[in-house]
Amino acid sequence: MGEDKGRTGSPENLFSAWMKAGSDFWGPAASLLPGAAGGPFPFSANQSSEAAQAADLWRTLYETWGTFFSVTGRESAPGNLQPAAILPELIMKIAQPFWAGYFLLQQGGEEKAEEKKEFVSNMGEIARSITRAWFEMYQKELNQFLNIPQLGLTRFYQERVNRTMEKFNKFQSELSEFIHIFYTPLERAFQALQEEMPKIEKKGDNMAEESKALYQAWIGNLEKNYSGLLRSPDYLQSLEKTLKALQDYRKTRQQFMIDIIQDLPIPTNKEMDELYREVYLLKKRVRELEKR
Amino acid sequence: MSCTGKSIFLKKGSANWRKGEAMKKMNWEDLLSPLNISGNFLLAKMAMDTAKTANRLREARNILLGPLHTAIAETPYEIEYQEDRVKLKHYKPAELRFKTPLLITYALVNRETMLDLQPDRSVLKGFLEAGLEVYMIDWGFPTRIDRYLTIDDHVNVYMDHAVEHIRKKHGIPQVNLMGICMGGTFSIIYTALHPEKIRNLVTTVTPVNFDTDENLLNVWARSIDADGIVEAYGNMPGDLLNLGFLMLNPARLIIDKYVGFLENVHKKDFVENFVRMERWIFDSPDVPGETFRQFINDLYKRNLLVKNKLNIGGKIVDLRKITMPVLNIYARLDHLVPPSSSDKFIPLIPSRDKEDVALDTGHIGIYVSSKTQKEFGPKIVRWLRDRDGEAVPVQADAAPEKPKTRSRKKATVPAMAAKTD
Repeated sequence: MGEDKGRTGSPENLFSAWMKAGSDFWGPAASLLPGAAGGPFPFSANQSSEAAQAADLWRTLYETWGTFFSVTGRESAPGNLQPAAILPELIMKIAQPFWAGYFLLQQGGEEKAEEKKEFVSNMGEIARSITRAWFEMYQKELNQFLNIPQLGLTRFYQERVNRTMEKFNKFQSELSEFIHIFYTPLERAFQALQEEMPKIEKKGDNMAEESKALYQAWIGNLEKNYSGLLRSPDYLQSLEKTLKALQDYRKTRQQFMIDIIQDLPIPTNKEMDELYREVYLLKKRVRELEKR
Repeated sequence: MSCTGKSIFLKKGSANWRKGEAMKKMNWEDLLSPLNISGNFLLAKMAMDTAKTANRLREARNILLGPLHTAIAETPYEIEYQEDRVKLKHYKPAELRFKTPLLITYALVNRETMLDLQPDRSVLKGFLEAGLEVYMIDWGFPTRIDRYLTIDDHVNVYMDHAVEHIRKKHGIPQVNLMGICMGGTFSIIYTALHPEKIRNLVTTVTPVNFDTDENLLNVWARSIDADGIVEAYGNMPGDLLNLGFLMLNPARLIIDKYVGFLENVHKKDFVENFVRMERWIFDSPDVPGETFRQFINDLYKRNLLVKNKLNIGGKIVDLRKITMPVLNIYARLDHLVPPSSSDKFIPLIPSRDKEDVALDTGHIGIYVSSKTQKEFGPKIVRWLRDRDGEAVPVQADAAPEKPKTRSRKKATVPAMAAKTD
C-alpha cells in the first residue's frame, strides 16, 4: 500500500477525491439546514409548539456536535457549519483502515487475475489470494485493536475475550487455507473430467457403461491427486498450522469459559482436572500399598 | 461441446432415442450448454436409466423403511471382571477343546466389536466353534477422568489384572494373548514385561516399527503436536481421529464408498452389512490424553519400542525377553499399519518358534472380508492348537535368531510345542 501513495490511482488519492466530492455536495446542503448561517429558518415564533420543539432539538444537536469537535482538538470553524465541514475528514480517518484493507483485498485479486490469464482454471487460486488478502488486512488493520492494553478492574476478563476473538480469527484463517488446499484435487479431477467428456461422447455408444467409466476415471484421478497432495510439504504445513490454531483457540476459549461459569454452581474443566489428577494419584498409591 | 441435436449414443429409432429426441425439443440442451455439460450425454443417460432407477428406488424404499438387522456383537458373553471403565468379557464355547484360554486385547481406537461384526463373518464365532475359550478386554469409553491414564496403566494395571483373573480362575500359570493393532503393541509391551505369564503370543496388524514413510498415518503422526492436542482437549477425541482416518483417502472413504452404497441400496444384505460396518467405524471412544501423548511421542516420533528403549512404568521394554511362540499376522494392503511397520517385529525377538503371515487384504479386511475369514481365524486356531500343550519355560536373555517368515501360500510352520490335541 505504501508504494501506491504517490500515484494518482492510489487508494488514498481515490478516497480523498471521493470525500472531497462528498464534502462539496454536503457542505452547501448543510448550509440550507435550519439554523445554518445565511440559511432560511423554517420555524417562526407563531408556529405550533411541536415545530418549536423540533427546532430546539436541531439546535441542541448542533451544539453537541460543536462541543464534540472542539474536544477532538479541531480549530473552530465559522458559524454553525463547523460539524458538517469537518465530518468527512473525521469519517475518513475512522474509515481509513477499512478502506486500506478493502483496496489491499481488491489489489490482491486483480494482480492474481492479471498474472493468470486462464480465468476458469485459476478461479480457485484467485479466491485463495483474496482470502489471504482479507486475513492479511485483518492482521494489519483490525487485529491490532484486539491487542490494545486493557485498563481497570475488568482488564483481565476483557483481555481474555479479545484473545479468544483473536485466536478464533486465526483459526478461521488457517482453516480456510487448509480447506482450499484440500479442495484442489477435487477441482483438478473435475477439470480432467470436463476434458474427457467430449472424447467419450465421440467414441461411446453405450451410455450406462460410459458413465460408469467416466465416474471410475474421475474417482481414480481424484485418488491419485489426493495421494500426491496429502504427502506434500504444503499440505503438511497447512495441517500443522490448522491444528495448532485450533488448539490455541480451544485453550483460550477454555479460559474465557472459566470466567463465564465461575459464578455459576458448575465446576470448571480446570477444577475437575485438578480433582481427577488427585483421584488418579490416590488410586495409584492405593494399588502400591495393596501390593505390599 | 457437441450440440448437433443428433444422439450418438443410442440407436436411432429406439425407444430411448425417441425419449431423448422429445426431451431435446424442450430446449434442455440450451439450458445445459452454459454449464459445459453435454446435453446429449445426460439426456440419453437419463432416458436409459429412468425405469431402472425407479425400480431401484422402490426396492430401496422398501428396504430402508422395512425391518433391518444391523445389530453387531451379538455373541453372548459374561462380564467377569471390571475395573473403572474397563471390562473383561468372557465367551464360552459349546464344547471346550483347548487347555489354555485366549485373551484378546483390542486397540483403544474403535472397539473390539469388530471381531463379531456380523453372524457369518465373526472371527469370535470361529474361535468358539473351534472350542477355544475367549476373554476379551473392552476398554470402554474414556471420559475426562481417564485423561491421566498412561500406557503403563493400561498394560500393567488393566491388562495385568485381566491376566491375573484368568490365571487364578483357571488355575494356570500362563494364558494365550492376542493383540489387535494398537492392542497388539500393548500385548508386545505386556509380554516383554511379564513373559512368565504368556504362553503364546499372537499379534495382528500390529505397529512395531514406526520409522516408516510407507503410509500417510506415520507421516502425519510425526508432524502433529500431541502435547498441544492433549492440553486443548484432555483426551484425544474419537471423532477427530476418525476424521483423520477418513482424510487418509478421501476419494474412496468419503465419496466412493457411499456411491457404492447407493448403487447397491436395493440389496438388503448389502445394506445391512454396510450399516453394521458404519456403526462399528464411527463407534469411536476417545483415547486417554496421556496415553495418546506417549504413543505419539515415544512410538511414532522416537520409535523407542524397536530400540528397546521404551520406558513403561519405570521399566524398559526389552523385546529380547519375548521367547515364547509368536505368530505375527499382517495385511499387505494395510493403509494404517503397513507391512514395513509389522514385519520388523519377528526379527527382533529371540523366540525359536515364530512366524510371520502376510495376507492380501487391508487393515479391517483381515477380520471381516469373506475371503480372509477362511484364512485368518482358522490359521490362529491351528497355530494355537499346535501349541496347546504343557507350559514351556521362558528362556530369558536368549539371543535373537533369524525369523522364518512365511506367507499364507507357503508351507505351514512346523509345530514347536508338544501337540496334545
